[in-house]
Formats: sequence, C-alpha cells, structure tokens
Amino acid sequence: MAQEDIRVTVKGQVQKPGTYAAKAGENMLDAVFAHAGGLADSRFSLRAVLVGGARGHFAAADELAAPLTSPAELMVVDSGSCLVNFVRLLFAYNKTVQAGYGGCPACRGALAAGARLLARLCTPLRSAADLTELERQAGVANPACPDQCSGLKPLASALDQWREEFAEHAAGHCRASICAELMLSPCNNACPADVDLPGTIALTQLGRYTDAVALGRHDNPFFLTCGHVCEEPPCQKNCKRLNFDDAIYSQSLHRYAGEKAARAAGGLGKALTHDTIRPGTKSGRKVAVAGAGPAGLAAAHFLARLGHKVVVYDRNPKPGGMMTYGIPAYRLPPATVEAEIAAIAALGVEIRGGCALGRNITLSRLREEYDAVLLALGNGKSRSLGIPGEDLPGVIPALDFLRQVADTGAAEVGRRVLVVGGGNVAVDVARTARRLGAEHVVMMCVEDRFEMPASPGEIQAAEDEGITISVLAVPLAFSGDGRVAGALCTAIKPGPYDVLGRRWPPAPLREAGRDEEYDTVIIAIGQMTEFDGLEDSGLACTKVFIACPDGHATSLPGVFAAGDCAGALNSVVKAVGSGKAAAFAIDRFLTGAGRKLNSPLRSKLGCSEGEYAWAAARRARMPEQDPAVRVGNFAPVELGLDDSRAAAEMLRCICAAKGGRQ
Amino acid sequence: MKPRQLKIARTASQIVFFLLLAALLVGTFCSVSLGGDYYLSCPLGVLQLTLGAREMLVGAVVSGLLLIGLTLLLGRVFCGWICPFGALTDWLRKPLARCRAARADGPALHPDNKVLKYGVLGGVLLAAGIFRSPAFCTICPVGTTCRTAGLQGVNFGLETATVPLILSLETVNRRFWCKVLCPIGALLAVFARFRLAKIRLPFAACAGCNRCEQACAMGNSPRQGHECLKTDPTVLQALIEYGVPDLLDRPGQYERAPQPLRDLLDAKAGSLSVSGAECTSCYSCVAACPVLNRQADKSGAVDQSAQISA
Ligand SMILES: Cc1cc2nc3c(=O)[nH]c(=O)nc-3n(C[C@H](O)[C@H](O)[C@H](O)COP(=O)(O)OP(=O)(O)OC[C@H]3O[C@@H](n4cnc5c(N)ncnc54)[C@H](O)[C@@H]3O)c2cc1C
Ligand code: SF4
Ligand code: SF4
Repeated sequence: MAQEDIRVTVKGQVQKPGTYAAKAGENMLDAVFAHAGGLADSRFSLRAVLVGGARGHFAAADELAAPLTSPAELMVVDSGSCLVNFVRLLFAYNKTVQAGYGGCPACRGALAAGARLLARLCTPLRSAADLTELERQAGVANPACPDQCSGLKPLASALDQWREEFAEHAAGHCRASICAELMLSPCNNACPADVDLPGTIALTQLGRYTDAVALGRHDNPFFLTCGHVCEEPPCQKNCKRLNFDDAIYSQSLHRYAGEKAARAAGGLGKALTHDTIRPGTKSGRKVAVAGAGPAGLAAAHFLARLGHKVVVYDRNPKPGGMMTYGIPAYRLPPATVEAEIAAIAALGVEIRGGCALGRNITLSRLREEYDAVLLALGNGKSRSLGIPGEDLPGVIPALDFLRQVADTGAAEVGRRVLVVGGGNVAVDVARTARRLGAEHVVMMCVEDRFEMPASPGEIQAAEDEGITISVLAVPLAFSGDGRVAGALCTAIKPGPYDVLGRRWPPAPLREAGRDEEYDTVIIAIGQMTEFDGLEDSGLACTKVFIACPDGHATSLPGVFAAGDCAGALNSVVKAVGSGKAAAFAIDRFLTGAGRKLNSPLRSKLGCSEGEYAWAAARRARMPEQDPAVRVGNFAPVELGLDDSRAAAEMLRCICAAKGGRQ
Repeated sequence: MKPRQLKIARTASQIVFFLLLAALLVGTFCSVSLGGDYYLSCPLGVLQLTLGAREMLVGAVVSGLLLIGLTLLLGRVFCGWICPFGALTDWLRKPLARCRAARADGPALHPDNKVLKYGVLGGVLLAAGIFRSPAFCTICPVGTTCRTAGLQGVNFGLETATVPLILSLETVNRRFWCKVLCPIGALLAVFARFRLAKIRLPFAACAGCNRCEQACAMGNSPRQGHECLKTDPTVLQALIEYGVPDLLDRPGQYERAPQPLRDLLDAKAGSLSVSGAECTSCYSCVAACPVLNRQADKSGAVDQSAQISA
C-alpha cells in the first residue's frame, strides 16, 4: 500500500462492502461508487452516508465530495431506508448497547428521551410536539461530557440535513414506506396519486371490474393511462412481496381491470362512468387551469368534484399534454387517454384547445376573470446541445419530432438516424424512428450502460428492435450542405461522481473524434419549461421552474402551479399527484376549509380478502409483440395480461392492508 | 401439524364440545360431571359460588382448577377450542361481518379495548359477594348457550334472549364479547400469560405483511415479536456491525444476509413468542403467515396450484 493511501471501510447498501485503500484526492463518493461498486439495489439512490458508526454523523454533501484525509468507516444508506427509523435504531443501540460508552447524565437522558420520541414518530402516536421535543433533545451538548455526547450525533446531523423527512413523520407520512403503522399499505403510501392498490386488486379478484376502475380513478383520474405508462412505479419499491421474489406487477393489473371493465360495460367510455365519481355541489367559484396535461386535467377533475367551475386552456388543439403529443402510440393507445379525458370533461370541465397563455390570453386577464388560476404548463421545450450545426435542417428537437408523429403519423427520417440522449424520451424517439423506417438507429449518451437514466426494460426493448446504443460518447458538431449529413462524435471521460452516482460533467476527448454519417439527428437531452408570455406577469421563477415556495402556491396570490413546470417530475403519475395536491390547495384557498373527497369503495378491501399464492410464484411476464413485427407498426407492444396470468399475479399480493376488512 | 389440519382440528373440537355441552345435555359447561364427586367446572362459577357462600368448598375449587391448569399449559384453548359461545361467534362471523360493513363506522366502544373485561370480572365477583349468589351466571352467554340450546332450553324463557343480544355485539367487531367483555376470558387471561406451550412465528424472516394481525380475531398483534427483535440489543449490535441497522425493516434483505447473521437472527427470534394473554390458541396467525407457509412450500408440503407458468 502506498504511503498516501487511506483506508476506508464501506458497509451497508453497496454492491461490495469491504475495506479499501483510497488514493489521495479520492472522496467518499469514490469509495461508495467506484471502490464498493455502487449501490446494492439499482432501484434506489444514495440517501445518506453515516461516518464513524453508530456514534458518528451523517456526512453533508460537501463532506462527501471533499478529498478523504483520514481513515473512515462509512455506512451507506439508500433511499429505500427511512431515516427516522434508521436513527431510531441507532438510538436504541446507543442507549442500551454501546459497551464502554459512558456519556454524561445530560446526553444519556437525551438518548433515552430521543429513543422514545423517535419510536413514537414511527407510529400513529406521532405528533408535531414530538418533533419539537426531539429537536430540543438533539441540541443537548455538554462540553464536559467524557464522550462529547457523541451518542446524539446521528440525530443532530440527520435533523440538520433532512428535517423535512422528520416533519413528514410528525404529520404521519413515511416517504420510504417503511414505517408500516403509518400507512394503509406500502404501495398505497408510495403511489404519488394515493391509489388504493390493495382495494383495486381485491375488487378485480371479486370480478367487480367497474368498481375497481372507479376506485382507481377516485384517486388517479389517469388510472388506466398509468396502467400503460407507469414506469418503475414508486408503488413497487418497498412492496412486501419483495421479501419472497419480486414486487407485484401493479400497473399491468390497472390495465387488466380496465380491459375487463370495458368488455363488461360494452365500451371504455361506459366503464368509466360510476356513481362514486360525480361533480360536487356547485360552489359558485371559477378556476382557470392553463395546460391540459395530466397535472392540469387531474386538478380539473378534483376541482370539479369539489364543486368548482373549471375551464382548462391549452395551446394545443388536443388536450392531454405529453400523454397525447409525447408518449408514442405503441406504448400508450390514444383511445385510453381520450376516454379518460372525456370522463373528466363529463364532470363539467370545459377544455378550450388552441388558446395559449401569453399569446391568446394573459395571466392577468385570467386572474381577473377567475377566482384562482392553476399553471400546469409542463416542460414543453427540448433542451439544445449548443454545438455547431445544430440549426441545420434535419436536426430536430425530440418533442417536435414526437409531436409531428403524433399529429400526422409520419415523419421523414431517412435511413440512418442519430438520437442524442440516454433517457426514456431518447428511447421513445429511437423506437419511433425505427418504426418510421430508419434502418440504422444509434442512441448516443454520455453515461455508461449501467448509468443510463432510461429504465432497463426500455433499453432492452430498444435493443430488441435493433437499435444501437453508443455509450460514453457525445457529438461535437453536425455538418451537411443544406441538410444534416453527418456528425463529428467523440468518446468522453466521465467527470467526478455526484451524490446521485452520476459522473458529471463529462469531458470530451477531442482528439478521438470520428465522423459518422446520418440522415437525421434528434436531440433528446431533456426538457424545460417555456416561460414565453409569463416574463412580465410578475411571477417568480427559478432558473428552470415556476417557484412554489409554499407547496403549490406561487408568488402571486391566487395563482398556483403543478406538474412538470413546478419541478421535474417526469412521470404521469407524479404529475397527477401534483395536480391533485394543487386542487386541494386551491380548494382550501377558495373555501378556507380542508375538504376531502371520499369514496365508499376506498380502504374497504385488502388483498387479504382472498387466498394468496403460497408457492413462490414469479412475477407475471408481459406478453409482447415480436420485435421483428412490431418495428413495422405503432400498435401496442405490450399485449396485456391474460386472465390466468392476471389471476396468478393478483394472488401474489401478500400484504394485508390496514384498511382490509377483518 | 400443517395449518389447514389445525384449522380442521379446531373446528372439529368446537363441534364436539358444542354438541356435548349445548345439545346433548351431558351437563352444562358450568359444571360437567366427570363421575363421582369430580366435576369439570367453570372457574368463574366456582369463584362466584365461593364468594357467594363465603366458604371454600374444596371439591369445587379443585374442579375449577382443572381448566386453569389447562390454561397454564396451553393458554386460553378453552376460548378457542371448547367454548360453545365462542364457537357460535366463529361460525356466524361471515353473516355478522356483513352487518358490520353496512353499519355506519365509529363504534362507541373501542373494539379492541383489552382492559375492560378485567373490570367486568371485578364487577361480577363483587356482585357475587354482595348478592350472595352467582348473579352473572344468569346472563352469561356461555352458560346460556349451554342451557338454552338443548332440550332444557324451553324452561329458560327470557334468558334465551341473552345469546342473540350479545351475538349482535359481533357487528361492532369480531369476537367482541370475548375480547372486550368476557369475565371468564379475563380470568383465564391472568393465567394464560404464563402458558408453557407457546406459539412462535418466523419473526426474523417476517415480511411485515400484517396478515397475522388481520387473521387474529382477538385483536392480538402476533407480529409484535418482530418489533421486539428489531430493538433487541444483540440483534442491533450484529446489524450495525454488518452495516444495515434496519435490515429487518427492508423487504428481502434478510434473505440476502450472510448465513451467520441469519442464524443469529433466527436464534433470537426463536426465543420470542406470540403474547399469551389474549391468544386463544386458534392458530389463525400461523395459518395466515406467508413466510411460514412458504417454508412449508419449500419442502414441497404446500400445494403448487398457484404457480405461474411464465
Ligand atoms: C416522450 C416522452 C415520454 C414519456 N413517457 C412517460 C412514461 O412512459 N411514463 C410516465 O410516467 N411519464 C412519461 N413521460 C413524462 C410525462 O409525460 C410528463 O411528466 C407529464 O406529462 C407531465 O405532465 P404535465 O401536466 O406537468 O405537463 P405536460 O404533459 O407537458 O402538459 C402541459 C400542457 O400545457 C400546455 N401548455 C404549455 N404552455 C402553455 C401555454 N403557454 N398556454 C397554454 N397551454 C400551454 C401544453 O400544450 C401541454 O398540453 C414522458 C414524457 C415524454 C416527453
Ligand atoms: S398509478 Fe402507478 S404508482 Fe400508482 S399504484 Fe398505479 S402503478 Fe403504482
Ligand atoms: S403473518 Fe408472518 S410475515 Fe406476516 S406480519 Fe405476521 S409474522 Fe410477519
């Protein structure tokens, strides 16, 4: 071992726990992501690093990135853990076990009190007062203490950095879905739209398909859309079934319930009509929603059920936002989205297409005419690379390309297509280009294979369709005479690890440049919000989003924001959840009361109602169109579960949700 | 015995005792003649008689102690396997639950109040002392079931009403009487805490699914052992050493833990059991636990019909 090497021990949620010799200049992130091989479970991200064992502290971001100076023992915590519970266990340990830990009367008292309070915060006994008291105990410090009150350190450093997670517990929510006492079921707790998944599964098992869909749509008006597009659904992260094999394939069951309901009711539209989802008694208040994406429409759905008159404005002729103009038809049948939007319109929501905020109507006008305004403008603008040749014809932003295909069903792409980007949007673009006849499609991204932001299933599907993935590479310039004809590309050297395990920023190795020939280049490196027409409205914005310092309320009174334009959510279900929360915030603003919507179906049934599969059954596999065939059409790739697979999948649910009937 | 067999055995036992005590009139449960001077008596009846008569009848006390002895051995098996009123509530659970679903929510009495029955017990004993007679016996649903369901039933007129009346409490919560009010159960619960034969669940591998709690009609929380295990000092020490203090909270992580750690967790879990005071030894939790039944499945003991062919 060289002189300057530093011994770091890495434990916890990493691939390869062990003791490593870190070189001079390496930091804790290198120890975690390079030496110890990164996180043990790719579904989670890095949450915290506890330095120095049970009496150590949680490293702050700058400490993680600073070069190591002395040997360290790191305990790695991923986002699957609840920090409150984690600290609770450390306290239980420090309080009773720690051999030789003397401490002083002050810190021993604080440890005992803290252990009790932390235990309370993980159960329904929790209260806001517990948190206040906990903070007081965490602040106990006695310079004369022989152990420097070190037993309290994990709590003090956790409160410094993640106070909001403790506050959520005090309000009865555990974001990691670990503190089981606080929730109906882990899946329900984790679903951003708060879908009662055990209930919908139980109703489906009982053959009450329309009820199942109604229960799903009670919380998520895009329940069936989510059945197609919920990717890596949050509800599956801490599913109890993971104890045995794999999480319940929830979204496929949404879809199954929808298909059965449509068949039973004689049409999707009819299947979505249900007694439990009705317009509320008229309040006489009017709300304008700008943006008819999932966030705006979900908000409209809940506002209408609360009795308010809602008008939704959208600059596009058709509503649906990215569900209509972004997500390709082979993943989401347009009929499903249209039916769910029609069901929202049936609640009395008026949708005005072709009316852009900032162009056809101003924010101040909306504020005058309506009692409240919700901005749900999405992230409608593609980011650009800022390299030479990007303005050549044939270099197309991803969203423009997808939109053209959604509108006309066609686009001229030529034989060879380069897609720049490694996320799900890039995969969608590449697979769409392939379906439009491109023979040679290359996806180029700066990440390495295992770091790509696109979900593994999508990457696999793209490769099955013959798409080439070029990793650790970037284009430096595009060239062509009147139209793009080639790209100068090069390999990159990844940058240092950030807290999410990404290596950023990448450094292009210019000398390794190579010319490649392409007929079309599509840029899919991310989206951002368009503020056109909002500049002089007085609305406060951060660099990329509309600022919502207080939940969903913006800097202007009576103006709220939700969806992708208020923070990068990048998924339909999160946009729905955000729109839903904004709807209740608006209702509180309008009526002054914290109202709720109830459904007689909600929290009544759990999966424990029926039998479950005792045998260790694997998760159902989704039947798919053959790759060789599907590249020639836009029909859904995933064919949906058949009866026997769906039945077996539902039997896999072992969780006896709290709301289940006894 | 496998869970399903246990369930069959319990139901069989309930039927046999129901027929014996309530229908065939071998006697009533209150005091079944075992031949000669020996009786198998309701310990609460004996206590009331003793207090009422202000004297100890050795024969009666011995008779009452038989059931207490059984409870010390096996817990409140009386409640789960013998009591004819308990059997009635079990058999009528489904229809009664339907009434419950129809009721507006928010029962006046907390359906899981576990302390109240000790108060009832005190009251019953006090009443016996004051009135110098076993007053409670006249409304005891257990005794009434025995006395009125059989041939003698006709003689008892109004008393018959007690059974349906108390049964209707089931619409508040299952085994409401047994859980919240029954003074006999309270008396047995005092001794059941010290039962010798304990019920164990796989607390180390526990999935935290809550099925056992849901299965338990007595409002017990069988998985409490899992909670105890999490904060056991030896366990915490080992888990922190390993680097994952919350291993027992994270789905699937026990399965992936190194064998020595699993052995330690299993050994600790083996010393924990389902708490005895409320448990009627019905074994519903054991039958409901997917971990236990999965282990059975590994040895090929459980039916594989649900296996997916994918
Ligand atoms: C190609 C692609 C694929 C995706 N795939 C998935 C997936 O598989 N699963 C998943 O969960 N998520 C997916 N997403 C993400 C998801 O679609 C978005 O996160 C979600 O649609 C955001 O909803 P939103 O309502 O905030 O915004 P949007 O859906 O973007 O809707 C915003 C609406 O506002 C309108 N608008 C904008 N500016 C104005 C204005 N000035 N005046 C009037 N109207 C305006 C727009 O026309 C649009 O209709 C995908 C996104 C893309 C781009
Ligand atoms: S909407 Fe998505 S996150 Fe919510 S329950 Fe369904 S699949 Fe899970
Ligand atoms: S049934 Fe088994 S796995 Fe489920 S909570 Fe109870 S002990 Fe744990």
